[in-house]
Formats: sequence, structure tokens, C-alpha cells
Amino acid sequence: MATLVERWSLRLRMFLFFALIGLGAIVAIAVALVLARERIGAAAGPPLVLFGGAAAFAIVGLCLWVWMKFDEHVARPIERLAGDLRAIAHGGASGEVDEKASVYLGFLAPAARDIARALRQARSDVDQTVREATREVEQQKGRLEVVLRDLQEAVLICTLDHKILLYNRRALEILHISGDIGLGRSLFDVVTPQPFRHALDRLRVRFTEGRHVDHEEGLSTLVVCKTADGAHTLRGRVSLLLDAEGLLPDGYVATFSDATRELAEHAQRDRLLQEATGEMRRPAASLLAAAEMLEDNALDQEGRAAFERILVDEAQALSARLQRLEEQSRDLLAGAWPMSDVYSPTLFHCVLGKRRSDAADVEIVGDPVWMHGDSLTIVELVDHLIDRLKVRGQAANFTLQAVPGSQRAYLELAWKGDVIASAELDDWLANPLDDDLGDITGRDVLDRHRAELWCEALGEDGARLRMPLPFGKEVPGGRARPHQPLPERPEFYDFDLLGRMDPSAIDDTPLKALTYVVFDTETTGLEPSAGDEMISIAGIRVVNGRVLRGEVFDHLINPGRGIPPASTEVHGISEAMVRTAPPLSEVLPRFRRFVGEAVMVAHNAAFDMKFLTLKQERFGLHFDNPVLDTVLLAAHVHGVSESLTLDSLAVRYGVRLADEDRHTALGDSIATAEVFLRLIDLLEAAGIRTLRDAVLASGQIVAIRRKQAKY
Amino acid sequence: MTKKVLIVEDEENIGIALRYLMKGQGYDVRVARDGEEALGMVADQPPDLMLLDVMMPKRDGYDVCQTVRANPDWRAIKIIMLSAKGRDIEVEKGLALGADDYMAKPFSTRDLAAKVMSMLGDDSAESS
Repeated sequence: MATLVERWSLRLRMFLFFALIGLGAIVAIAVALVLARERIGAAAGPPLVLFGGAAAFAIVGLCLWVWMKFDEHVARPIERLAGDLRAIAHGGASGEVDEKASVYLGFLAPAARDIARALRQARSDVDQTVREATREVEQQKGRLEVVLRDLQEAVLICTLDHKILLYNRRALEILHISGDIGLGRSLFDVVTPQPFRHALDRLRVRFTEGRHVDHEEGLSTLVVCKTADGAHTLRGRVSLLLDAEGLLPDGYVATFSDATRELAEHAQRDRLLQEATGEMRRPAASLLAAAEMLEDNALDQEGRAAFERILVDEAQALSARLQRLEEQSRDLLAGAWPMSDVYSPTLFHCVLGKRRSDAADVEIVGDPVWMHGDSLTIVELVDHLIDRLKVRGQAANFTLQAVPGSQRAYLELAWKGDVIASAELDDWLANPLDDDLGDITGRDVLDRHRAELWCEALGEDGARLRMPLPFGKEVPGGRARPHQPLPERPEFYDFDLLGRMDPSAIDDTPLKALTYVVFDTETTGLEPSAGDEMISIAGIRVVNGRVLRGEVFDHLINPGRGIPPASTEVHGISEAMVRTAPPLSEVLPRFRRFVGEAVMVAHNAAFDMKFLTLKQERFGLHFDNPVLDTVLLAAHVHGVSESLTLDSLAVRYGVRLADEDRHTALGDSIATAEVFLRLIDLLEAAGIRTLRDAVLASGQIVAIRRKQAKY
Repeated sequence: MTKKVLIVEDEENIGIALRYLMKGQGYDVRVARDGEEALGMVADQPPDLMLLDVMMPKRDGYDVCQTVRANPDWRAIKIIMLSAKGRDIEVEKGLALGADDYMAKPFSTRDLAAKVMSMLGDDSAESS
């Protein structure tokens, strides 16, 4: 009973309270009048009823009036105040206490106002602190992301079962050639496992025995491995990562670089050295023996001629061998000092930047050229040469340019004036360049680059210094290896994957936590069983509820048949575009590897899956992954009577897609992925939480559609 | 008239071999041991051809070559540079500074003799 009363509102309880007073007063008057009538006699009845009725009416009226005043000035203001306070407590910091309405509540309203203000201030302080802390964390995170992304060394962070949690751009560049790198994928899809397993075993033992504390390498060690295709050798380090308490290892970080070229050069250098020492012993021994025979022994004419012949033959063989050695070692010798490709305008602007006040005396001319060298010392050398020329009073104005030759590029410094004598130039080159660089001389710089420098006449009254340098690998208008087109802030890491579920429980895994490959195909027509073929296939990975725009598959396919103009109109792929594309026999196995164990998702999946399953047998592949269809899932959410085209769903969910991307396999895959992510939220609200739920829901829709099709 | 060949070489053994080789071909041969001595000899009596080693004490072969080429009176002197540095860049530098040809050591004396002969012309050599 008490709880029922407590549930009533304050105003109702007040009303009942006054009603009770009024009712009590009426009952008391009635009892008093009955008793009075018995004492006075029945004749007093009518006047008693009249006066009693008037008194009761007055009392009820008074009670009603007092209640109304009480309700207006106390009960309602208390309820409003309570409402205000509740709003302030739960609804954010903007609410205010209405003091005017609470004027009869004494100090309660001002006290409530003070509490509300204090609360608002405290909240504002907390919000400010949180905002600042968040901004700081975001800034640091952003900086770290940029550093990681642009690091020239590849970085990977993996779980102990080798699932990738983070990779940077360099890792993508080195490893994407070998296979498909991606968040949540196994590292061993792209590199050979044994070296990593061995390194981790060693580190675990070191950690368990506590030796890492004093070990000079701590919890890290060297690792050399090959990419999965065996084409590249990687060299780097593996470091064990410990959990937050530092008690157990829960992952590892691998940093590495592509050492293929370097190791091949080492091997070639070793081989050359062996040849140089080993193979020259034989002709040297013959030469020595023949020379001593000629000198010591009294040989007859025939013997002398024979040994002279030996001398000539062996000397010629030795000369030829030396020549070959020099040719073979030419490229290796220049690589001893670390160098990189440098763009000539960058190099020249560094020279100007260094000269500052008299930079105007130097003019940059000619077209840009990519060169290979150590830009710091080249800039110092050019600066040093300009200084020397100025001191000599040779010239006041210079032009700098890079000129491409047939074998190498030439760095040229020209002026109006005399040619500098070779001997004088040698003197200049013998001097140290800059105190900050130690005692490096110009000659050291030339030797380091295996370069030379000379001065020659230029026209009637001019001269120029020329320094040949190797061409860079970068060429204007194209790169040796194209960079992956990546979004501004690609999703390179996801540490939530650390706590991912057991893959065997895939059916019961929440939809958001699964890995998907959302894909689309473009075809020559709509009838695969009547000979239509795929001409493009694309896919994008969705991991942990995020569309990973850096992890895409996008290939044209040569269908080995014509493309009807009507279908070219839809997807824009012409016969000319696929003429040089690889055939399905190459693309489909690669797509199978890209899909891996992921759940496959497509818009109208039955169509795309039909093409895949028709071809899979021929190439020994099996696309037996779970499949979800965004058409069926959307039908479950919106009903089968709604328009469920990709375009209309994209519009409904606010997914934007550039016009040029629409009806390309990759563009449609991305749009489908975005639509799919929003569908997951809507499905969750409808109680569809796991893959099992989603597959069941899709099945129901298929059944409904089949029934509809009967009518 | 006998053509004059100036050999500029600081390595004694090669100097001897070259001297015999050129004499054998019928040229008037002189030998200088370094760059300065060579320029002195050129000034004294300009040769028709110089066999010029690159790596030498005092003034090196590049310097001598450039100096000879800077003097208009000596433009006609043919210069063959000889060097233990046989890379393209050194060859290019030698030719840029005015050499007519460049031979990397070790070289065949027969090839050198043929080269000298073709530069000076067949009819110029006379038996001594």
C-alpha cells in the first residue's frame, strides 16, 4: 500500500490530503448535528440540516480554495523544480531553475539554483579537461600515424598467432607484391613463417628465463626472411610486445626493409673477390714460372720461344680477366655510401638556400632530372666550388643545370669567364668542404660517387664545370613501382583485433566483429550459363566494422571473347581496355587468396556467386565461404515492397559515390560495403546480431520472395 | 721526316717497353718522367704525338693535356692518354679535356702501335 501511495504524484497526494480534511470536517458536522437533533427534538431537524449543510459547504469550499492555492504555490512549483533539477542532472548543462514560479518555496529555489550552477560549472570544467586531453591524444595519435605511414622502414604489429594489427605504407609497398596484406590477416600469407617462428621462440625463452633484462637486445632480435613468393629477401628485427601489466607477451612488432638488392650485391662482391684472388693465382704462377725459366736457364731456341709464348698468352689472359672484373664490379663499387634518388630542382634549391644572401647570383636553368647520389655532400661541393670561383674573381653570375646524357646525368655549373686548370681544380678538391661535415674534401665526395669533375670551355668566352652522376630510378611522369593509391588517413591499424574471437565460432560472432570481403563483378552479359564472362572483379575488405580503403582488389579480366556494346555502355569497359588484361585463370586464384576466410558480401550476391561458382571447378578453387546478400538483408529491414537497388539504398543511407565510380566493380563494392555497414546497425536493432541470425533472416526473405514469385 | 713521339710515363718498366715499341715503329722517341718535364719538352720541341699517362707526380696527365690544348701552337699534337683507371668517367674526362684517344692499362702493345700508326699516317714511319 505504502508503495502505491509513494508512486502517486505529489499533487495528487496533496489533493487527497485536503479532500480528507474536508471529508473529515463534513463527517464531524454530520455526527454533531445528528446528536443535537436527538437532544433538541425532531423539530430542530430542518434548521440543523440547513445550517449544517451551509457549514459543510463553507468548509469544503475553504478546503478547495486552500488546496488550489497550495497546489499553485507549493505542489506544482515543487514538481517543476524537481523536473528542472532532473533535467539539469540528466539533460546536460544548459537547464535553468525557474525561480519566479517557486517564490513561495522560500530558500529552496535559490538553493536549487546554486546547486544547478555549481553542477554546470563542474561539468563545464570536466568537459573542458576532457576536450583538451582528447585533442592532445588525437594530435599525438595523428603525429604517430604520419610518422608510421611515411617511415621508410616497413612496420608490422601482429598478435602472437600472427594476425596483423598494424602495417604502414612501406610494409604495404614491399609486401603487396607477394600477396595480400591486410588487417586481421595472417602475416604468413605474405612472408615465410619459419624465421619469424624461430625468432619468437627465442624471444619467449629469453623472456621466460628473465634474461631479457640484461640482454643487450632486450626483447628484440634480428630476422631475415623471404616474401611468400620467394622473390624478395627482407631483413629486420622482431620485438616481443608485453601486455599492459608487462607480465605476458601478447604480440610482436616487426620492422624490416627490402634487402634483396643489398644481399645480392654482397654475394656478387664476395664472388668477385674470390675470383679476383683465386683465379688470378693461376696466370700469375704461369707468368712467374715462365719468366724465371727465361732468366735462369740456358734454354735452346725452341724452349725460349715456348716460354715467351707462355708469357704473352698468360699476360693477355690476365689483362682480359682484369677487364672483365672491372666491368662486373663497376655497379657495385658506387654503392658503398648510402645514396638515394634526388630531383635536380630540389638539389639546386638547397644550394640556393645555403647561399642565402648571394643566391641571386645563381640561376637554375634547364629541365629537371632525377639523379642518384648523396644530396648533402653534392650540395656542399657545389657551394664550395661557387665560393672558390667567386674568390678567384672568375665570375659573379652562374647557372646551374642538370643535363641528361646517354649513360648518366651531368650536373653543370657554368659562367662567363676562363676555364679553370685541372691542377687548380684538384687543389680546390683537396680542401675540406665544411667544418660541420668533418674533414670531408671535394675529392672524397667525388670518390664516394665514383664521379669525376672537370672544367671545359663553353662557347667563345664561357666555361663550365661538369660532374657526371648516375640517373635516379625515378623518372618524371612515372615511378619504378607505383604507389598504392591510398586515402588521406587509411585504416592501417586496429588494436581491437587483439581481443578477437575464436574463428571457429564464426556463426555466433556479432556481425560487426566479422571480417568481410564486399565484392562486385562486371560481365559481358547477364547469362553466365549462356557464355557470358567476367571482365572485371573488385573487392574491398571490411574488418571490425570499418571499410578498409587501403585493402582493395581491383582487376580487369580478358574474357577471351567480345564485349557487347550494350554492356560497355553500362560499365564503360571496352574490348580495347581488356585486351592486355590477364585472363580469368590468373585473376580468379588471386581473388580467392584475397578473400581468404572472410564472409563474402555482394549486392544481389546470387548473380556474382553464379559466375564465381561456374568457374571455380575449372581452376581448382572453392568459394565455400559464408555469403551475405545486401538485397536480402535490406528486404528484411525495409520489407520486400521497397526499392532495394544499390542506388536507392545508398541514397537512403546517405552513402555518396562519385559518378565516375558508379558501375565500376570497385566503386560498387565500396558503395555496397558502406550500405552493408549501415545495414548491420539496422539489423542489430531488429534483433539480428550474429551471422547465424543474418543467414536465417536472409533465408526467410528468400522464402517470401519465392512465394511472391508464384503469384 | 721522322715523326716525333713523346712518351710521358712515370712507371719505368712500361716506359722502357713503350720506348722500344715506338722506336721499333721508326719514330723519333723521347721520354718524360712527370708532367712538368713533359711540358718542358713540348715547349722545347713539340712532338707529333704524346702517349700520356694520367697518374703522375707533380702535374698529372689531365693537367698536361689541358695545358697543351690551351696553347694554339700545340693544337696539332695528337694525344693518347694511358691510364690504370679504365672507367667510362675517366675516359670521358680525358676526352673532354682534349685527348684524341684513351687506352686503359693493361693494353696490348700491338693495339697501341696500330692506333699510333693510324693517327700519324702509314707513310710517316721510317726504319731507323
